[in-house]
Amino acid sequence: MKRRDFIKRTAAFSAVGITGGFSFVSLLGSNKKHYFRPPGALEENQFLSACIRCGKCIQDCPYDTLKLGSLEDGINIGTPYIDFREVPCQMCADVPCIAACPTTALDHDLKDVNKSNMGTAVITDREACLSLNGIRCEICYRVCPLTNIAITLDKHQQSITKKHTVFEPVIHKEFCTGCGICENACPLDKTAITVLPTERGDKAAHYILLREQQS
Amino acid sequence: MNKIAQNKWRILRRIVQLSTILLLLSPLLKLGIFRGTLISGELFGVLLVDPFAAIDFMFAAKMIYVPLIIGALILVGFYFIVGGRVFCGWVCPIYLLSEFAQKLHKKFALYNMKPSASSKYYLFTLFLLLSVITSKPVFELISPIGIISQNIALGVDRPQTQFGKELESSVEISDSGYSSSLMNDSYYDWQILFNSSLLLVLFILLVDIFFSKGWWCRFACPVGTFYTLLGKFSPVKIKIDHVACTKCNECFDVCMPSNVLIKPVQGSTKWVIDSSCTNCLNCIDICPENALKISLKIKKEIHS
Repeated sequence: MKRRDFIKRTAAFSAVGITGGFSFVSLLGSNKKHYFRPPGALEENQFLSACIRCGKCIQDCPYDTLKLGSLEDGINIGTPYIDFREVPCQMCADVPCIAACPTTALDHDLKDVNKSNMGTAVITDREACLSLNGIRCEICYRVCPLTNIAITLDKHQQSITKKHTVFEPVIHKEFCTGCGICENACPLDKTAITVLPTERGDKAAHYILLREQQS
Repeated sequence: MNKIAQNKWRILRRIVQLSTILLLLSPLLKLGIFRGTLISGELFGVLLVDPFAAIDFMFAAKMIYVPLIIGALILVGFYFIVGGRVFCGWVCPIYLLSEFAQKLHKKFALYNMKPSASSKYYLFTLFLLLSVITSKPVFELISPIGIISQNIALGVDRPQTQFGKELESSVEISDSGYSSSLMNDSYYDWQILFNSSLLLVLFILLVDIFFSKGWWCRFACPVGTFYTLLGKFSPVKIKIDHVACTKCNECFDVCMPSNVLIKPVQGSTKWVIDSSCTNCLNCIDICPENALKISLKIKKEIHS
């Protein structure tokens, strides 16, 4: 074999091998990360069945909230997802992403974006939260598109000085849409408030019932 | 001038292929001509859906959704009239890239593997079976047509909106009051999207160049296979004049699906009946005797 021929072969095989190998390994690789979907998205498994990866919702999102899944995202390649810390969902009143969807992946019956459920904000770091430390922050409460509905302030006495008030943001799961505006606005580097996947269980139902009875 | 006349179909086809790309970029002009990608888009507000993607959706989601089917049927009707694989030859950007890859193939080829012509039908069935079993539209995950059109269309249509500025689009913010100063200011007018999924397209082209000429379009792509099946019933076909044909076989070299011209040139039929033909019309351009022409095959003719 001539040296030139050898170089040509090596180059060809490695180019094809690297691109093909990398593509298929990453496509088949599992990804534990939770992908937050646009408003009105079906439950995750059904969403992955119904989404034909056309990208129209991503194109029609006027705030560049929706991102396009790439090769590293494995099975989520080509699907829309939201990174709240980068750009949260701005809750457009006419929900252009749902209007753009050619399939049932996004629920066309959802007319009121405030009834969407992308996730639920949770105070994930109570020790870091400025408000819980007695500092007047409450940014999450003020930026919330459903102020005083999805996030309310629970005022109680600060335990150290016994003079000051702690304005504790309390998130109400049944109203929180998971738009992520609070997570985006949290002034901490690692957010104290984070959007998590909504879990609907009996516990939450009982908790809500209990609260309604008490009030 | 003579050169243009000799290549008139090729030039026309290049114009159509480029206008597909321009159509994908057209949201930049904000004229409302076209939005979306080649998997699903809206042309003048009419929803169009790639028929294979619609089938894939129905197999994966196990559900029938009427607007999707209507969108697919419009395209099925259109490509039925103009000839099934006209999508491949005249519209698909992967085919365009593959045509250039095939030119490189002449220089750099190591092998030219030719799987059997029926392999695309097996792959077509396999993709649909996988969609049923996994309940995911499997082909849409790796569809290079989807990937390339997403990278063209979504990359440039970046938002022009910024908080505190008047919104250009028809979209209004919900009447909630949140502070603009807290938002990220990383808004840009446009940027080029380079999604890593383009590696899949690169892989297809590299195999094209080194190992198998036009393998994706000829032996694999189920979208093309769908249009092959549709084209069986299509009336637009290439007709050969056996009196003028000198059997110089020059048309074989420019034919991408390469085997569709063999039967008509050898004389067993007047029409290019194999619907793997993309109606690219390269053969008409190259024919020195002008023995080939495009015409309508409406009535069944008795072969002489």
